[in-house]
Parts: sequence; C-alpha cells; structure tokens
Amino acid sequence: MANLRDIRNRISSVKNTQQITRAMKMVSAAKLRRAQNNIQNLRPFANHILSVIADIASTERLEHKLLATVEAPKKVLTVVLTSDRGLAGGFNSNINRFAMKYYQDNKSKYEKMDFLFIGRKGSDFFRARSVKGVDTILNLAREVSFPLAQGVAGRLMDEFNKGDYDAVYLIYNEFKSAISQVVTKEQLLPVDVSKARMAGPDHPTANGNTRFSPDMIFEPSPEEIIDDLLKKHFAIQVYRAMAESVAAEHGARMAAMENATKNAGEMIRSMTLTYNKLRQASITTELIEITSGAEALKG
Amino acid sequence: MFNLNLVTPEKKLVTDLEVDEVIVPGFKGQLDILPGHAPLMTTLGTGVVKYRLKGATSYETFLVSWGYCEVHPDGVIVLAEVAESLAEIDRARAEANLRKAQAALVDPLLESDQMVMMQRKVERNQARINALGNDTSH
Repeated sequence: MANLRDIRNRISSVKNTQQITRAMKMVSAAKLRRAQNNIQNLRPFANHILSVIADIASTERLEHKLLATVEAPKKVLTVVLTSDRGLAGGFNSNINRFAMKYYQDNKSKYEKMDFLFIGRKGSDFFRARSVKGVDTILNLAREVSFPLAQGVAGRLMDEFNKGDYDAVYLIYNEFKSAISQVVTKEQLLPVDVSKARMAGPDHPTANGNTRFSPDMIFEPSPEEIIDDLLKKHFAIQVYRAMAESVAAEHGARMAAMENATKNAGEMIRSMTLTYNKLRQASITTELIEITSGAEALKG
Repeated sequence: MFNLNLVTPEKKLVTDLEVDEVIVPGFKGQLDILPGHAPLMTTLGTGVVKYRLKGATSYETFLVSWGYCEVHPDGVIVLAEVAESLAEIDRARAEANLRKAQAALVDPLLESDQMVMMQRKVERNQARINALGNDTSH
C-alpha cells in the first residue's frame, strides 16, 4: 500500500533530522563549556582593572577624555553583536528586533547614528532593511581571542578619539545561564566608572575595603597609567561581551536543538502509531476479504 | 603572607601563591619586589617575570608582554596581556618571527602603527629568546 510506504519514508527522514539536531546539541554543549570557561577566566582580570581604575579615579580626581560623561550625545555608534550562523532559536532575532526598535525610536534624536555589525546575522538583517553599517566583522564564533577583541576595541577607540562619535553603545546577548540569554544595551564609551562600585559581592571594592593606599608610588604618572588601563579596560569589555555572546549563542542553540530533538521524537511517535494502525487496518481488511471469499465459496 | 597573582584575560596562571620574591620588568626597569615593599603601581614592559616560592631557592619564570603590576602590603598582582611559561616558547619560531619582524622594520613605507606593532613583535621575540638563553645557562 502506497500510503504505508509514504509514512515509512517520512519516519526515516524525521529520524535523520533528529540525529542531526541531537549531534548539533552535543556540539553546542561542548562549545558552551569552553565559552563559559573563557568568561570565567577573564573575570578576575576585568575586575582587577576596573577596581584599580575606580580607585585611581576616586583619589586622584582625574580628568580623562574616556571618562568624561556626555550629557546628551549627538553622534552615536552602536555595535550590534550577533552570530554568524542561525539555528539558535531566538538568539539573533531577539537582538535584531531590539536593535531595530532602538534604531527607529532614536534616529530622530541623534544627529548621526551609525551601526557596526559583528556577526553575519545582524548585518544581513539590517542590510535587508536598508540600514547600512559602517563595517561588518565576521567569523567571531570560530575563535574568540583577546587579540581579536583588542583589534575591534582599538578601532572603536580610534573613531571615538577622532571625535567621530560622542558615545559608543553595544547591543548583545548577555549570558545569564545555559538556557537564558538577555538582550542588553551597554555603554562602552565613555567608560562608566560608577559601575565598578556596583559590581558583584566578590568585587574588591564592593565592601569598601580597597587596598588602595594614599601614598602609592606610581610609575609612570597616574595619568599615564590610567590612560593605559582605560584602554585595556575597554578592550576587555569588548572581549567580555564577545565571550558572553558566544556562550549565549551556544546556549541558545543547545536549547533550540534540544527542543527540535524532542519534537522530532514526538513526531516519530505519532507517525509510528498511525503507521501501525494503518498496517493493522490493512491486515484486517485482507483477512475479511479472504474469509468472506471462503464463506462465499462454501455457500 | 605575601601572595602573587598572575592573571591574563584568557587564563589565570598563578593564584594566591605564597612567594618570597617577585621580579618584574617595570616601567623604569627591572623591579625586585620583596615582602614589605612600599605600595606601588606600575605598567610592565615586555620581559620576564620571575618569582621564588616561599622557602624555595630557584625561580619560576614567565614571559609577559604588556602588563600592569600592583604591589600592596599583602601581595603582588600582575595583570599581563600575554603570559607564557618557558615550556610554551618555541625557540625556532621565536627566532623566525624575530627575523621576519626585523626585516619588516627596514621597509621605509611602513605605516606608523604597523611600525609600533613590528617593534613590539621584535621586543617580544627578543625577550623570548633571551628568556630561553638564561634558562639553559644556569
């Protein structure tokens, strides 16, 4: 019976799909672990730098271009961080929707509003809606490394220093846990030091017992040190966002693939049921035909 | 208690190790830090960070490239952009990179930011080779 064969084919095709989604889930789980390690490893470095900056800034009353708060920025650069590949559930579409809404809400407010895209999905989405980015950076997920982040950071810093922009924002998926990502908008430049005070409880400055002493020796001068540190801090912020985004991507993909695998299983189950019912029905029909034929002959 | 922490963005190399002495390539030159050193904050150049564990007589060596060092009463924090242990350094590769970077520096058409990059590359590879050289001599 042709119908039976159809169902059999569909079952085997769904089984193949399920195998693929299951494999993708495994791969994402492994990559997620690595990405999570990255985040954990950079945390001490980031926290130290931030606390030192906050310490110097609070004691030395420093004026620094990167620290100056801008009341009403006019020229804004927004970095949109997405992934290169899809099949990650709502990961990219959440970001894109958020960024689009932000763009539409604010484009009248600013004189100049530019976008820089990291990741193919975001740049494709905006290109399709004829919003052009100043640049696109691809191939992030393959290897998130500090030098790469530093390259991006250096570029942003240059453009900021040239006076092309008053503020640089970043929209990315913050990694909360393996199953939850939150779309976040953060200010990258100018650097917001007040955040250091609010950082988590493991933070050296959180409970006020800073190790900073007033007769600290500086080599070179505090101004030069803070200049250097701010640059590093900025680079590490970019690196952190990238690492979080990659972790979030793998987390999202893992969850999406888990669901897909489950749905495929459900489909296989219901199709197998239909298949068996049909098979039984056809056997029953055949039996009835045979027995009634035999009865007819007897009569 | 005099502890050393050595951290890079990509890994945590040393955590709360009790040490007797730390030598770092400070902004103004080699700095030898012993317990009781005055609080100090300095940037680090490219070079070798050495430390001696409490009670030990030999030094452990790391190569760092750009960093920052903070000395406070109960320890030293070294934040380095790149840090490698001696075992990770490949002498042949360092020498090849050094020659390549030196050759590139001769090019008169080099842009200034590239120049800085190449100079740092020369420094870094030179430091790598030096670090290895010291290691075999003693």
